[in-house]
This record gives sequence, C-alpha cells and structure tokens, in this order.
Amino acid sequence: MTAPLLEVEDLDVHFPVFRGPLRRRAGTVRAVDGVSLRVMPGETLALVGESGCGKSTLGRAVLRLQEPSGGQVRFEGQDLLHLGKRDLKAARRRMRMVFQDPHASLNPRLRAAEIIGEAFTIHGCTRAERDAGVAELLTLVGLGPDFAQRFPHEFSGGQRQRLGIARALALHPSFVVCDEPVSALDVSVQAQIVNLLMELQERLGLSYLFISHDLHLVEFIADRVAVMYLGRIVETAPAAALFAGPLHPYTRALLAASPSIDPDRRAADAVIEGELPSPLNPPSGCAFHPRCPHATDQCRAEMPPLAALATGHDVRCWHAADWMAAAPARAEALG
Amino acid sequence: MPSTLVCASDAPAMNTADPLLEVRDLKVHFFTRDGVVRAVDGVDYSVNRAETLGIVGESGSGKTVSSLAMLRLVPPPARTMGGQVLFEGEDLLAHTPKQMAALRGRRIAMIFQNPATSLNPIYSVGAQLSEILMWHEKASRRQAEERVVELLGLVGISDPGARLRQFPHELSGGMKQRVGIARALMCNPSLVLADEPTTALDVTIQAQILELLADLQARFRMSMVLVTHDMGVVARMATRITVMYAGRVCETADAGTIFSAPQHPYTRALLDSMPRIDQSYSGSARKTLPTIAGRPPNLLNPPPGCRFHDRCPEAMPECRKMMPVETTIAPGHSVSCLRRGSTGVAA
Repeated sequence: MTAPLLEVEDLDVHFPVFRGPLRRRAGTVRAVDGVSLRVMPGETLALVGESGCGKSTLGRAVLRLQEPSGGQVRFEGQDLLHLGKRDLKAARRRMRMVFQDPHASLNPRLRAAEIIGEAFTIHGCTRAERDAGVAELLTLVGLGPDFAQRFPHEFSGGQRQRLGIARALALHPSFVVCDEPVSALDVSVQAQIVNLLMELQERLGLSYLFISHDLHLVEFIADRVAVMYLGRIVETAPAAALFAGPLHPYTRALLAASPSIDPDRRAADAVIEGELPSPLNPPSGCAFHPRCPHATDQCRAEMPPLAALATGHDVRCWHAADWMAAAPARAEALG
Repeated sequence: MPSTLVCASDAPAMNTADPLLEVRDLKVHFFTRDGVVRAVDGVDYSVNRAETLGIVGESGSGKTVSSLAMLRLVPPPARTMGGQVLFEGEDLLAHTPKQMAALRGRRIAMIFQNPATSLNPIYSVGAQLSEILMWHEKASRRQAEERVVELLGLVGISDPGARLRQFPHELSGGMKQRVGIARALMCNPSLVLADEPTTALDVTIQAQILELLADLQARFRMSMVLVTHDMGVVARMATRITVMYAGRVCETADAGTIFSAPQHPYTRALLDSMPRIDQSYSGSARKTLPTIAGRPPNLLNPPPGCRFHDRCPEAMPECRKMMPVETTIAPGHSVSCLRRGSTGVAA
C-alpha cells in the first residue's frame, strides 16, 4: 500500500476569546479539535459541514496558513509543524490553495502574468522559466496565453477562478486545498470549473482536500468524505458508502436537508430541530446531542469516540452499530 | 411544530383562470454611465391564488429586479420602462406613491434574502413588527404587540413574549429569518414575495425555514413568489416555475414538468449541469458534468435575437435574428424558443 500524501494527527486549532474592558480571557473557541485524517496520492477527500464547523480553518491549518495549536501534520513524509522557514517555503511549492471568492483572492493591481508568476519569482526561477510557466499554466486552465497581460477585472467570475487555479498549480504541486472553489459562481459556470478541476487531477495526479457545503457536488467529485460538526469529524467514509448509507444522525440530517432536484428523493425530507451550538460553550458529551432525535443519557454525558464500523468508515456516535444494523440500503449498495 | 407538509410540486397544476397577480411585458432598464442595461426586458408571468410560483435564474437574469419592480421598489439608476402589474385587477404601475405605501406590507409583503441586514438593528423586534400594524391598521400598541407575540409563536420562536424586547443582534440567523417571516405575515397579505429567503442560511436551517414557509402558505392559503437561483429549493417548494435568462422568461410550467420534461434548451442545460445525489456517478471511472459553454451575456449590449443563442446547442440561423415570443405548447406550459414552435419577431 502506498504511503499517504498528507497525514493529520490529532490537530487542534484553538482561538482565545477576550472580552470586557480589560480584555480578560473569556474562553477558547476550539475551531478544530482533535482532527485526524489522511489524503492518499491522487485522491479527493471532501470536507463537508455547515458554516462554523471548522472546515475552512482545518484547510488553512494543514497548509500552516493558520498556525495549529497542537497535533501533527505530515506531508510527503515531512513533519510540517516543525519545519523551519526555509524548509516550509520549499514544502509550499508542493501544497497550494484555491480560494472561494475569485473576486477577493486576486490582487486587482496585478496582471494575470504577475499573479501566476509571483510563485516562480519567490521560488527563484529565472525570468524565462517564469514566462514559459505562465503561458503553459494559462493554456492548462483553458484561458490561453493571450490573457497574460490582463487585469482581474477584465475576467468573468469563471475566468477568474481559472486564474486562481492556474496560480495554485504553478511549480507542480501534489496537493491542493480547494476551499469552496465554485460556490461563488453561477450554476452554469460551476460545472465548467468542476470539470476542469477533475481533468487537472487526472492529468497531473493531484490530491485535493475539497471543502464544500454542497453535498451533491461532493458526491460527484470526492473519493472519500469527512463530515465535520463543531470542530470534530463525526463521520468519514468512502463517498459511495457515505451516500448509500450515512450512519451518523447528523450526516443523515444533512443529506435529508440538502434540497434535491430528484423527485424520488424529495419525499424523504426530514428536518432536524435547533441550531448550531456556540463553539465557545459547546454542549457536554456528544456535541450533536441537543439536536439529535436519538440522544440518550450516555450521549449527554460522554463524548463518543470516532470508531471504525467498516473498512474506512468511521463514525463518532454511541449508537452507530444500531444504525449500521438498520441500514439495508447500505448493505445492498455495498454487496 | 405541526407539519402539514405536502410536496408542493405533487399538487395538480392549476390552470384555473384566477390569477391573483399578472405581470405583463414588464421592462426595467438601468441607466448607467456606460449605457442602458436592459435588466428586465419584456417579462410575463402570473401567480394564481394559493400557489407558489418559483422564479429561477442565475445572477443577472432579472429575477430579483422584476420582483422588486412589482412593488415599485427598483432603486435608481433603474427605472420601470413599461408593462403592467395587475394585482387583484389593479395596475400597480399606475398607482400613486401613497396608494403603493398603503399596499406594501399589507396586501403584498416581502421576505428578504439577508435577515441580518433587513431588520433594523436599533429597534427591538417588538417595536419594528408592531409598527406595521399601527401604521396600516391604526392598531394600538397593545393590540399590535399581542399580534406580534402570536405571530412569533406561529413562526416557531420560543418564548415570544421575551423576544419582543430583544434586538436583532441577539438572535441567530435562523431566528432572524423567522422574525422576517413574521413581519411579512403581520397583516395577512394575500401575496408574499420571498427573494432568496434561505440563501444566507445553513442547509439544516434552510430546511427548517422552507418547511415553515410551506406550512404557513398552506395554512393561510397565501400566494407566494419565491425568487431563487437554487433549483433544489424550487423543486421542494413551487407549484409552478418560471425560468429566466438574461432579462427574459425562457419557460414556465408546473414544477413536475420543468423537472421531468423541460423544453427550453437553457432549462435542459441548467438541469443537466447540476450534479445530483445519484448512484450512477459513484464508481464510474471518468466523470464529467455536461456544461453550458460561455457565460451569460452582457445586458448593456445583449445579443440580437434569442438571448441564449450563442450558448445554445440547438441554435439555428434564425435564432440570431428573431426574438422568440412566449408560446403555449401545452396547457400551463409556455416556452420562448423558435425550435419549440415559438414565433419570432425581428429584433
């Protein structure tokens, strides 16, 4: 078996919160709390959850764009969290990011060639290498070298996101964090960008950490899915297994709540009560228990562990074995 | 909360000639420094009593502007350039500002996209909701507050008496949108315009709000216009659907037909380009979504003829020259496409 490209162990990102006139420390927001995950070469791991669940913070923390408070991140065999400045810079050639909003993430005063070429300059490439690289990347993302001298405002939303992707692919990375790369785009343009990302993955052997709240898109693009709730992973499984037989009550609620255009799936709508609790003051035991229709005293008292129920299918729920037994669809789909 | 929810689109299409609201040939243009943007350019649709009309389209399709124009709320530099908005037989575009003020919030109410910005941050929930009744129905403060408490309870807000004294910043996003819905229902309107009412919310909260809206709509037999870019939301909510593209209506039909037998090439392409939660994608080696080439046109200088022709897989030479006229192809189903039998006018 090949080694994972990225291995995250027990990662924490905690933010202190200060309140009052003396700015006393009022508590800690555990935005990411003990998260472990792996991304294999050439794989897409999707990270899904609602706003505030910590998925974007996690995506930034694995690139050290946000300094983690604890845990380990191993990328291509290196311990990222203990790299010095110089080694971290070298590692960052291999791991890049595509941002959500292509309007806000491109410097309006730089031309396309400068936006993409910056990475080449920073990593000490010659001018000739840079110019060749820029032209190649612009072609790769379907824009063409003619776009090199234009400013971001001359691009449409979809073209800007192509430019953002070209920037991320400079210097041949192996791993790209895509943080909601299509959610700011129009529906008819989204499909173009999704296809581009998948085509590039196949051609360049990229691995993606794909952060999204759109479950329909995730089912389409992901190999494996991790579902987050309030800073923790509550379920992780191969995409086919997760969509055929979600086990955690939160995953099931999320799937049911996601509006579908398939008439067959509309009848199954089930609504869960309540709202996301404050991460400053999370509930005791299982963080989902106040909204969970199946919560018991054990759920209120103790945090369940993330336990493996099938190969590659881990669930953080005290009653996961019951859901497993009661999921005929899953058994059928997986043979 | 009682949930008397029926899947809206399963209801039979209403072809009864009892429209509550009819929009005819509505035109709204923006007069910008760069020229005239024809954001809404000859739009027709109608809403029957007790039904939900879903208006879907991408950004810039004119769906929001056309619904604002109904209430005469388009801001400068936009101006309503023509058409009729017939509501219960009256042409709203011919009303005086005073008549409009008496109508807004009372007979037609609006639910806005962003609950964080559509509530006034410096007034308590009770103050801004009771003001509506005090203004429109000359109710006393006490009467108005009683009604506010009743409505807050109805939209699923716990302990409504105490919420009356709270300010918008003390409420979560979902709660704010519930207050926004209560505000719209204060005077028992016969029509509610909901412009992307759940776009700013998380998916589990969105499901709660949609259930609430469907429930209230059935209970009070209100008509609703639901403006959204999300096909999933209209699939869940709408009785009939109007699809807009670049300031014009492409297709109108009952919801079942739009999803099972769409006729306009744009409707078809839009539905095809969306990934569905569907087994057939899982496991196949190389997957691509069908896409729509290009992007929506610039309405400063829209393409001649059919506005979709340069992205349309079925375009023929006439489509470049002739603007299709909306044509009924089956009861309750109309399409603007020369390929589907629409007549064209030279444009």
